[in-house]
Amino acid sequence: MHELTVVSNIFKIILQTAKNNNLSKISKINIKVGRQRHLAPDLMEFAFNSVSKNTIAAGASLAIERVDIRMRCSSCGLDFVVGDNTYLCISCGSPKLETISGKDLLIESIEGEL
Amino acid sequence: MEIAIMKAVLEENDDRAQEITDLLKKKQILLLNLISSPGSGKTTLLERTVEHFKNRYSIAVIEGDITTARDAERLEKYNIPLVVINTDGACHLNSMSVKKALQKIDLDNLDIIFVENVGNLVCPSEFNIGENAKVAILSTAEGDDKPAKYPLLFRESELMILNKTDLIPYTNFNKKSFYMDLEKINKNLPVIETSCTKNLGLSKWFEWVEQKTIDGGVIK
Repeated sequence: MHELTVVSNIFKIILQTAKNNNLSKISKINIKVGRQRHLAPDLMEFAFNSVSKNTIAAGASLAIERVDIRMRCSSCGLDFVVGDNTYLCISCGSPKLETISGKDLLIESIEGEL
Repeated sequence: MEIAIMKAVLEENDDRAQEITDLLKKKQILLLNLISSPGSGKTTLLERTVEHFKNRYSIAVIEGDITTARDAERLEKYNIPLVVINTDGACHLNSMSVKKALQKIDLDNLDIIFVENVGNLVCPSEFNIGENAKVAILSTAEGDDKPAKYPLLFRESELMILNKTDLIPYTNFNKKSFYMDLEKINKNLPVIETSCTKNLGLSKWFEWVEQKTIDGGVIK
């Protein structure tokens, strides 16, 4: 249940951003979560609802964009999306891969009212 | 109105982890983060390791435990610096708590710090603590499907220890499917098979640690 830790961090960052920009209400949080992360979106929402209760972010929606696990093969240079937990180049079979995306855990933006 | 943020959620953790990395590099200390399920044999592995290296390296251990100090108590007999981090329910260690723990250790005469993370295959792999390497430990009684079910840890680790191999005859652990799964998830991950209670396979682990101290610049 490290979703609570992650969501608490999100909450801290968005409250600071809202304060810096004089927002009186946060209605939506846009975040990116890579598929390599063991994070369950429904648990994140549940944790967010608990953490944001009685704050300017109460009732805000957590828009989670899942980011594919994308690798670049160090042997043949191919970019590909990892499916079925198989970290082998789909063209040449090499295990020497460089991560392009998939471990993302990023707050992109918030939406709200002044 | 929309306000762009573009900030990593775990930035604070990653920043503190980087500070730990920088500090320990300066002090020429190797930090190994041991991650596994509860009961895989992490503490027994540490007992064997501390015993083996007692005349060779100065070792400290940081024990992540949800509520007790029982793992640390098992290591007290070696008279080494030991710090317990009680996470009060949290399922993983983070770099903030490890940094605080480091303040309780004299870093001037130390070669290796082992961190025994909270027993959990999921959460600890998400949080860097400034380690030189993560080491995944799996015991055969947990089943051969664990790398397939918890791939992140087996992607992030630099070494895997398959412990309790002496128990294989009493379990349904299938070595062939274990290695087939692991080949898909991380073909480059070295695996050392051990039985810590029967003292099997440990010399390869000790060699790995020694090599890691050389790679990590621990030359004293």
